[in-house]
Amino acid sequence: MPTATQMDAGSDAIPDEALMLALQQGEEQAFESLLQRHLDSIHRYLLRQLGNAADADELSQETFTRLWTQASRFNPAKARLSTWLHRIAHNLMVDRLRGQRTVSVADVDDHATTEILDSERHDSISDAQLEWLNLALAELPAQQKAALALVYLQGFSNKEAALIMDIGLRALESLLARGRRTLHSKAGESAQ
Amino acid sequence: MTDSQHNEQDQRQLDAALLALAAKEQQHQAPQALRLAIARDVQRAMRAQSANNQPASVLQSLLDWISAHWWRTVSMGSMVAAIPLLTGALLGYQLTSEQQSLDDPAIDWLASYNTSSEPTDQEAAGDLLP
Repeated sequence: MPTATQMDAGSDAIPDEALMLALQQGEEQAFESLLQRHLDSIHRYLLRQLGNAADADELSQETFTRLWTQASRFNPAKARLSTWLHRIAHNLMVDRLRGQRTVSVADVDDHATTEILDSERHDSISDAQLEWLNLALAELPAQQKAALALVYLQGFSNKEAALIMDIGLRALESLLARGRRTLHSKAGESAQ
Repeated sequence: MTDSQHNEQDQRQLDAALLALAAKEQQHQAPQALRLAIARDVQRAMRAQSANNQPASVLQSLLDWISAHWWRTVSMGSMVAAIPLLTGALLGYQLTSEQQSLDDPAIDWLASYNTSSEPTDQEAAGDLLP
């Protein structure tokens, strides 16, 4: 188990699994380190899926509360911590969306969009193109959007994304293909 | 350019756009206020749980036990109080009985009988006198 000094240093060398063991022993510093390491990614995913900064904040908080309360249920043999955390966040998001109508572009919080797009300009793709892609992703059905976001934006493998969404690998690949087709056809429409 | 080539080019552009968006999103940071709020709330909950897990003092444990089993405490207390009371009562009765027996006239008579059964020398001598 890592010492408090090691965790104070916020060293990335300490694996998530060791920090989880320390968290299970009630080490506050372990929680701080895990929060520091994973909050941005979880918040980014929820912000994209929900399109609302307040909801993303609330569900991020709930996700990390569960990280602590359910720490003993984490099994490193089954999944990485980031996969497990995204699964918690994804389930919370699905529950939240279940009671809501489908998010349309008009519903997407401007603040949420600009938060994601306010970084430096990419060399080959213009900001306008990125903004278009961002909005087009927001218009996709929730499942397709989640699949594309997990694989292309969050950097998970297809297998991990399927685990997060609790679906089979073939179902995930189908969602990815349909999502890409939808984006492709939208691009064609907007070009005309 | 064939349809297939055109489609392939579109897919490559989509991949590039998604890659660029991913690169931008990597720089996204959650609000600092949120980070602090989560850390504060969870740490507070962790400390509360830790305090609950601390071993209680003997007095506290006793008080907790009494509050949880007040009815048993009352019955046990009654028993503990009843034992000396009962003992005292029995002892008192016994002493009183002894005193009463000493004061008993029959005892006096017996005592007098015992003493009178042995005549004094004078009495004995008197009996012999004409």
